[in-house]
Amino acid sequence: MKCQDREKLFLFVQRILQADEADQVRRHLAGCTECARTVEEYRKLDSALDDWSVAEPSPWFEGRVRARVAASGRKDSGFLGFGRVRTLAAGVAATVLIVGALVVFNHQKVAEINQPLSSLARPVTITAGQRVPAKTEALRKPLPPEEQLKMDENLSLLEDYEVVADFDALSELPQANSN
Amino acid sequence: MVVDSDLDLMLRVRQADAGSFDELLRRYRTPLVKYFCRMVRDEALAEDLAQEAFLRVYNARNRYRPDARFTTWLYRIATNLALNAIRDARGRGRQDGNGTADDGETSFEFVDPKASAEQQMIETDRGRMIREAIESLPENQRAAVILHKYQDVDYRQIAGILKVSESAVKSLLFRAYETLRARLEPLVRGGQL
Repeated sequence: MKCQDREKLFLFVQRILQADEADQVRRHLAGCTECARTVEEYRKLDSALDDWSVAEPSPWFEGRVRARVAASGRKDSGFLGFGRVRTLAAGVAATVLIVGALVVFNHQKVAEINQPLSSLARPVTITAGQRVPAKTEALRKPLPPEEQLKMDENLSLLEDYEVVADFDALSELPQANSN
Repeated sequence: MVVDSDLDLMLRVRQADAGSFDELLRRYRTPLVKYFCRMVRDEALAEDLAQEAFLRVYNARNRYRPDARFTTWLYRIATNLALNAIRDARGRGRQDGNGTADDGETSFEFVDPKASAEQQMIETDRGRMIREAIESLPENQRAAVILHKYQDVDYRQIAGILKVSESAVKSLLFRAYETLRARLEPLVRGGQL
């Protein structure tokens, strides 16, 4: 090795050199008092640095770490954390209420649609042997105000295409007495 | 009795095994607190930083890659925390007009008179000289010396911790020791103060 290669001497003292390089330095040191002195200085320095002592951890150190980890776990408590469950439950309750309200509302609408038209029309009675006029006298008579109001309220049903398409007028007529 | 490796313990921490985290805490509480004490001097701050390092290990457990040694990972987290604390302290010193750095990389003071007084009582003259000499080193040299000399970390690992090449670590250590040899000459030549 080159004499006074201080970095190599330092690395030798610190046992950082590869084995073959360390052997080379050992051989050199055997015949070089100057490099041997430098190595001795590095050893003394390394030994002197041992005198820097610092404090041990306090007795409550581990407890504090565990407390911080636990607090962090609560804050970031995954999908099923308490806060998220509470939020989720509130969301589900609101959804159930909205869906329930829609079901009840639709049920009332369907009940109205399924109401028989016969209940809306004025009944006509035709006796056996009687000639059925194209327009009966009864139908020509004006309806009483409360009957007219009932008819007007249900006029919207006649604007519903499905109701009108399925409407069989004859089936809605009261059955004539077969006798 | 079979002793679990750090790697085994860390893999179990990933599976939410609290006992394995406790074992890692027991193994590394003292080395880590002492590392921070040497890096930032202030003992109370050193404990806070060590707690933060363990908390970060726990919170980042799912990002731990088994191909890296646990101690490399742990000391990388610790070194980042320590260097940030040193920079913060230096920034506060500048703001307060107390900065003593002449090259932007040298000494810093944490303002904690109580801790300093306690420390001065237990600190020997030799210890104080060594501390001041190491504190005067640039950040990377200081971290390299403390990891190598006091934490017994291999220079290859130091390269991983400081994110530099192995030859750069050798150079950092050599330059640091050259500075220390000059500053601590009375200790090296005379042996005793």
